[in-house]
Amino acid sequence: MRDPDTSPAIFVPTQLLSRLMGDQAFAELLLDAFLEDTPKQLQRLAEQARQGQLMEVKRLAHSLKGAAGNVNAPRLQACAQVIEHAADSGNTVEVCAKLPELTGHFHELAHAIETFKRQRR
Amino acid sequence: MRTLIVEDDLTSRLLLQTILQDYGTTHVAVDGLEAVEAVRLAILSGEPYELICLDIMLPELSGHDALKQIRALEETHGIFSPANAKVIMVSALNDLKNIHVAFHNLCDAYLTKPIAKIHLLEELKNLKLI
Repeated sequence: MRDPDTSPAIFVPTQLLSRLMGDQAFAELLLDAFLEDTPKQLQRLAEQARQGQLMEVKRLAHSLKGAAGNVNAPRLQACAQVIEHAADSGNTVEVCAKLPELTGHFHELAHAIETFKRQRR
Repeated sequence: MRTLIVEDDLTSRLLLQTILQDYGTTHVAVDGLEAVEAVRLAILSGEPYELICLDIMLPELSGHDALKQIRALEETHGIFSPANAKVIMVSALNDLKNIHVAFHNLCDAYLTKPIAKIHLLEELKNLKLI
């Protein structure tokens, strides 16, 4: 079970806006692209993991880690990093075990992003 | 400024493109092979890129290998520093080995993701591109 006191935040919109010099429209553009693209990346990641293509899993997890960082989503970013390292170590079992967690983090993040967007309107 | 953005992740690409399109034409490549081909075609057309933002962990050909090939292409066509493209590596990899390899392969700057707009603009000013 995850310790709620030590797990990284789901979404830090203040940091995102700070990185984009306060540009709300720019932030929403990035967030919309992220929400649209990430389910496809999760699907590709799961397919490659099922096929045991760990080099590709490593690259896709790395890319997802970057995308999560780009929208200041530390929890998803940290989970993608664990999968990247597991793939790099050849640990298929850990990769497959972590994938549902990754999907779960994406869903909670998507909810947090939608809430943030509604509050800004 | 003519810019090539080499990035396989959509949000990272969009971030760079949205910032850099205020300063000129931006083209995108989604893997290392595409990047080298785009640079080759730009040189042959007589309008080489002035800035290349290059990710490292890319499909097909890594950013490190793409950079080596890009510098070799420039040399083949008689394009040497300071007239060659300014290359900014843009990567989530922040270890000394990757940074060392990138500068060894003649990148001009190295930015760690996630990119902050102000840091990118500062780097463009340092490189006298804006």
